[in-house]
Amino acid sequence: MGKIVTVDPITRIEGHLKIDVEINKGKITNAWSSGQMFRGIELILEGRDPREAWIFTQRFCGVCTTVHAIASVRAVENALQMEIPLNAQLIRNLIIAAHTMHDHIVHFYHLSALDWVDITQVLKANPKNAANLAQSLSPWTRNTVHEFRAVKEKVKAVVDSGQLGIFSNGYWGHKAMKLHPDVNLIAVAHYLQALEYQRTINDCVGLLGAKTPHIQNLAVGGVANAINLDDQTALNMTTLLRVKHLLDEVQQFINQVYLIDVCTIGSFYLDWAGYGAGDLNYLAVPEFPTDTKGEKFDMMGGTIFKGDFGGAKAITNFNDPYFKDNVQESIARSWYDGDWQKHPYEQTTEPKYTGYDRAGDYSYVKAPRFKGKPMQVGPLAQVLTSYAVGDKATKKYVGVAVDTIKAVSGKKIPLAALHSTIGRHAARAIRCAVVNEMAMSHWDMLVNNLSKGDSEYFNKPVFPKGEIKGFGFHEAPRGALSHWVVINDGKIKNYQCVVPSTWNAGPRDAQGQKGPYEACLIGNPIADSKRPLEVLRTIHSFDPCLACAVHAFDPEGNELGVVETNI
Amino acid sequence: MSTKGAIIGIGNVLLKDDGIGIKILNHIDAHFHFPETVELVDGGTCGATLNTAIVDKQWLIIIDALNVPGDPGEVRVLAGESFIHRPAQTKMSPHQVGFLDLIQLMRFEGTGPEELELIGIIPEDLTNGPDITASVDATIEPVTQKVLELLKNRGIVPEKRDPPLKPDYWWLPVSA
Repeated sequence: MGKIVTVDPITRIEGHLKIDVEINKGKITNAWSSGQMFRGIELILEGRDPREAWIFTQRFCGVCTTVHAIASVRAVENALQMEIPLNAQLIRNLIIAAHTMHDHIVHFYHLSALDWVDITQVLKANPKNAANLAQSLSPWTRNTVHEFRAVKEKVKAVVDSGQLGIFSNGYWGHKAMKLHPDVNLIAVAHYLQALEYQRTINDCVGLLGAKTPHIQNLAVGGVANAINLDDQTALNMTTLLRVKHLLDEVQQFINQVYLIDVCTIGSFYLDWAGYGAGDLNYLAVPEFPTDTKGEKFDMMGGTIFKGDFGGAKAITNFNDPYFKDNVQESIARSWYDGDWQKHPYEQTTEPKYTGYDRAGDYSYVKAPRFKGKPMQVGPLAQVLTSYAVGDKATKKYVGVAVDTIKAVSGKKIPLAALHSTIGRHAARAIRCAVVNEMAMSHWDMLVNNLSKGDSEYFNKPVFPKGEIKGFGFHEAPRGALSHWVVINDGKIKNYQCVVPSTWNAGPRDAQGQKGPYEACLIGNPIADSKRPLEVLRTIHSFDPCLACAVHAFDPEGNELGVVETNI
Repeated sequence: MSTKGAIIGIGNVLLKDDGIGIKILNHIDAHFHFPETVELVDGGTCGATLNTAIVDKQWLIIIDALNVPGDPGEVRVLAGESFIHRPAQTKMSPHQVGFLDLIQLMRFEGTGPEELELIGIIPEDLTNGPDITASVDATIEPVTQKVLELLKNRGIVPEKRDPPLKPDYWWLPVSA
């Protein structure tokens, strides 16, 4: 038996994810991912009006508010088999796109960059050399000596004060940190600029969704935005032009900064293209519907098993039985009453905590399976499925990534390098650029449709007597999200969410198949087991968000830190 | 001269007492009318997305459930920089990491509110459900008074709504 290192907590946001890894000769040989909080929050919805479910579901998680609102209205609309007006579809798409860009930018810069960037090394950087390098890679106008010098001074002031604040928990000076000081400086400068652009794109969500962080404009049957291009109190041309302007601004940041930074930093860590692959099973759902029924989409989704691109199978519409019939969740190794593996419609949520046991039950997260297999979800799954079916925008930005890495490292990397820890970051940046293009084209579609005189935005839902069932999926920033609802006489009878972090962070099942986090950690190097930075790198590359994934709250789990135990 | 600020409620209304900050915020909203320089923000459990709401503010009054030793329903007022500079992993409330991380980030950027006051309420029950326990619910009026006092220190006296509006506790069962 090797040495067991526990990293707890692993997310910088919220939620309680515990990862145990077994280390032999500097490599991870086994791993366990455990959700330590029970949140059977879906139970709150039982007996409620399905038209209001989205208002509650967007409070399930503090990080992914909007996504649960979208999945919820889609699930109820699916149960009613109703169409929604094209304007409503497109307005939702713009909100989805803006929220996605916000998430991806924040995730890279503010939640995971410091796994790779050593802020203390900035003091050794040369602002002039940093500017030369950055200007050679990107036309971004803010890559100036002046800007880099100012950031270096700012970092120096923080380090000199001894109050590292937000940076006090970093792995500074760790052996696994390999960026050149000048690249560290570029990254920290953009880390600060990213704060501005995440505000820019969040303003977009606010303009369309009436409010952030909790949008107000959804409705089962469409949206609640009254539309009149000439009316000051409705969604009008002034608002739409403002949205377009914000999308333009953010596009520059994504294409000239975010995508370039990920590739530049990745060039120094190409060894990480060899770690974090896992089982190569991927699931993504289609997104950005362009019709009223949800049968045509601008972004592809589907499945890939064992990395077989040729065998990729598409999920094609909001009713697709290929998705509906193949999702199950197992509780064989989770703290629930029973050992079943069931379809979401058939599930119950009865927690039964029996102690943390790596050989038995060890997590509050259920283990979702597609056709019985664990599936990785998220931007990498989405980019790979789109690439497999020949999506042009995806191919274009994969090309930009490959070229940038070649310019910095001199190496031409193969597509297979995306099956990795660093590949998940690259895929997220590629996807962010694609989503921005999508937002631009959907903005055009919306304005064209409005100009034609269509001002419909809502179809009234009517609930029949008796039982109906529906599911709604959404390719959220963290991956495939689905809500499953059973409605009886117009009231919610059962509600289940199968969320992205559950797909990725789930434990083993009855067959002993590991979840994606667990499988992707196997083989990762650990340079210093007292400071297992490499575990964080792989887990953070998934964009974990456990408040969402875990269905409970463990009052014992509040006080946390990095803990090490020897077994 | 008046500076811009916000009263911000933090918490998850679906986790019983964790929602007390939002409930008090909605109570205040129903009873007082504020000048344009004061915004009321339902922050939920959000971190980074609150950036937009607070970037143009000079001060914040934060109302939140607070995980510190003490009896349920006790109210603590923390002012100044003390609670900002706690190491991030010492959690006082389940969502504090995201929000306080954001404030620290904005400090580094050189933006965001300079003056912070936190009114924390010690919770009794943080399990699933919309209801708030009696001991914690009893803090609505005293915390409201505390908020008014803190506002008065800033020279702000909101106008009383007469009659008050019905507070929008949308997450509670209809009978409540």
